[in-house]
Amino acid sequence: MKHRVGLTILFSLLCLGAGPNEQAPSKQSVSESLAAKPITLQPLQVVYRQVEGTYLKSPRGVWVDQVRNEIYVADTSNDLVAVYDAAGLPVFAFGYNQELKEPTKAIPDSKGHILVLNGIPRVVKVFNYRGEYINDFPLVRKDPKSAPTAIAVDKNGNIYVAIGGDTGGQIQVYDSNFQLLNEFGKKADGTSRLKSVHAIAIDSDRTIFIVDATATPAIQVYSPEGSFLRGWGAHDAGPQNFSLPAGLAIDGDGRVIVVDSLRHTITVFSKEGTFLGRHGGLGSQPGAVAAPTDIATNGNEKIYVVERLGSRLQVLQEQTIAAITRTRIAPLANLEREQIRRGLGDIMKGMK
Amino acid sequence: MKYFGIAVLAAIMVLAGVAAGTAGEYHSGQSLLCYDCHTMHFSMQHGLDGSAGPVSNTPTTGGNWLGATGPNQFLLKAPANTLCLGCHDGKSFAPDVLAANGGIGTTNRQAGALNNTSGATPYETYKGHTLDSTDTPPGFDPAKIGAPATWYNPASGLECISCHAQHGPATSYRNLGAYALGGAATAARPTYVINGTNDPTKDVWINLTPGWTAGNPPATPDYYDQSKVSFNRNDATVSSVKTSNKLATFCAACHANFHGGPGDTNIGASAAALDGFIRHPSSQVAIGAAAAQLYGGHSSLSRFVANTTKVKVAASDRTAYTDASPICVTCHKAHGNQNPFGLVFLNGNASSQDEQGGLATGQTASLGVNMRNLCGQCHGQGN
Repeated sequence: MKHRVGLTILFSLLCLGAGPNEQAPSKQSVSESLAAKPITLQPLQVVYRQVEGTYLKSPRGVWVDQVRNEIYVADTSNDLVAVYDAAGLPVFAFGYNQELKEPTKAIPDSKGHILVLNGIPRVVKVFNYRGEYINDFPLVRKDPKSAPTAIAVDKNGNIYVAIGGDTGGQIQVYDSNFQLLNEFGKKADGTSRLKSVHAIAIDSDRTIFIVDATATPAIQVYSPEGSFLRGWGAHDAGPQNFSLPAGLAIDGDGRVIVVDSLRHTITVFSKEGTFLGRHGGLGSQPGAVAAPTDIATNGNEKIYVVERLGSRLQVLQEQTIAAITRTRIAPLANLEREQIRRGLGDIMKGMK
Repeated sequence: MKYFGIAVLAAIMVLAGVAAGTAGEYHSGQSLLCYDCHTMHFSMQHGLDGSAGPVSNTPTTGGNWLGATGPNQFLLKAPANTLCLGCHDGKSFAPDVLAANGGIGTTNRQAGALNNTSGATPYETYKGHTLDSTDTPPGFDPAKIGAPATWYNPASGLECISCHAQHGPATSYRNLGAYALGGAATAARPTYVINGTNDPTKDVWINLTPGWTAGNPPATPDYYDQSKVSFNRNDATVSSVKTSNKLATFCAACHANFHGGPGDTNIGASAAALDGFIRHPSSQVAIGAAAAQLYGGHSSLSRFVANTTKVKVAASDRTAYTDASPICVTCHKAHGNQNPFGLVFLNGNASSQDEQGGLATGQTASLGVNMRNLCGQCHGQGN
């Protein structure tokens, strides 16, 4: 009996960790370590309505305007872009005058325009803040068969457009006046690292994260100047890989969160590419996803996911597992460990 | 124990079959994984982390579930059309087959565009093949090509995989020839070659260089462009259906009673005379040959050769077109377009064709005039 108790206690000790007691981390290291910690995603809200009287059909793109706290959802079946407030209430929608055909993404720029990635034909259309069409974005296209496939804006107002074509893809960077500043995505030999860019996200340091549906690595990270830094993920089996990665976002702690349309998953990585966990799963209940097509964050802990098959926008709340462990469980664990050590010592004495 | 052994053996055989099977021209080169479309286990009741939820037990719209809590047939993660359209609708890396072309590159898709049961202007349901349609195909008589009478069940709704064998073989043009056709699939699968030089022994020539290796099509949207695709004349009789090209044989799997040449009973004529002719010959008739020009020149080779916007015929000679024969896709887009019945309303003055038939910029569509122009590609009377 004593042996069994002793083994149980020993096992408990191992589970709790018999190493030195945890030291309180510094503020800076908290932020860095949080980015590498797994999270859970709690469903907060499910939005089916597009505007009064109409509903989302095949939402393809979502973007959060972190300045105005508004959410932009592009719906390819309704040929509309819907704008929601932070509470998920519809504010307005535009595209009613048939200016849009299968829009896949809509983002506001730093000058009050709304840039919409149109599906047919593939162009970027510029609207004013009221949703009135102004003109087409003056994309620089060297290959007439090339076309834009993804778009994003950074905190400085620079606009990033992924251009795809027969010879591969690349990223073009424009300033807020729509002037071309930079192009990147090619190797030294001139071949492209990119094939089918589906989404671009830029973190607070202006590091650029790209998800490519068919290239390897699927997630590619570039410096603000466009130098390739690292990449991870492939079209392969395994939870850290993808079938059809469709969108990605960077959360407030720097985690990279990717949705996969065919696997119906929301996969979380550290910004270095360490796999942290998967969420979602096919379904229509809150928290499940059905063919998720894009993801965005508000820069804090709210995650927004749109689903082509689910025909909805979901708002999810991040909860950091590591934070809970450190603030609540760890002190108790230390106390328990001490009690167990003492108990184990008594048992060992008895055994002798 | 004996049964267990048999079950294990059966499982091994199934897995071996999967492993040995070569994925088709679409998917092998693009490295689609089994896991992309299928789930390995029957149960889908638990979440990815092993928790009890939240995963719905309710089938998604159009789902065809094996049980109250199970997945779709064939352990698919979603209904077949939903899975196919996940990549083939509006994506930059795969051909866009539904309605207008939201992919990158050409808008002149050889097969045109599918619609679906909620199809809206300009892709209504009567303008081509309609996904999820439960209508019985016009002229449905699969026995004519030796296919099982039950190979296609209209009540299940039209799916992409009703026509395309999603796993291959790679030797079949566009993976045509659904598995449900059984032994008739071999006879109905059109062969093809991708090269700068035609191979007249194949049914279809895709004029692209460089060539390709099996399962690895060229990574270019041109691969699907109508200007790159030609059809060779390879006369064949499958069961009682005569065709000039196996693509037409394949169409006969559903639309058998529209097939044949003059004299064939399945287009309403007797073998002795054309008097009973009630349907347009769809194969094994040479435009310009004497038999085709009975009754005062029903067709005219010189007329066809003179047209700048040729329809797609089956022909071995691409200069003189001496054996040019109409097939289904001469007049119809296989998927459909914005015209009734997916007809290619060619405009005689257009310098190029598109999926609708080549209306020049600024021209207004006129069904009557453009229908006449379509007929006028081969027929001289009144045009």
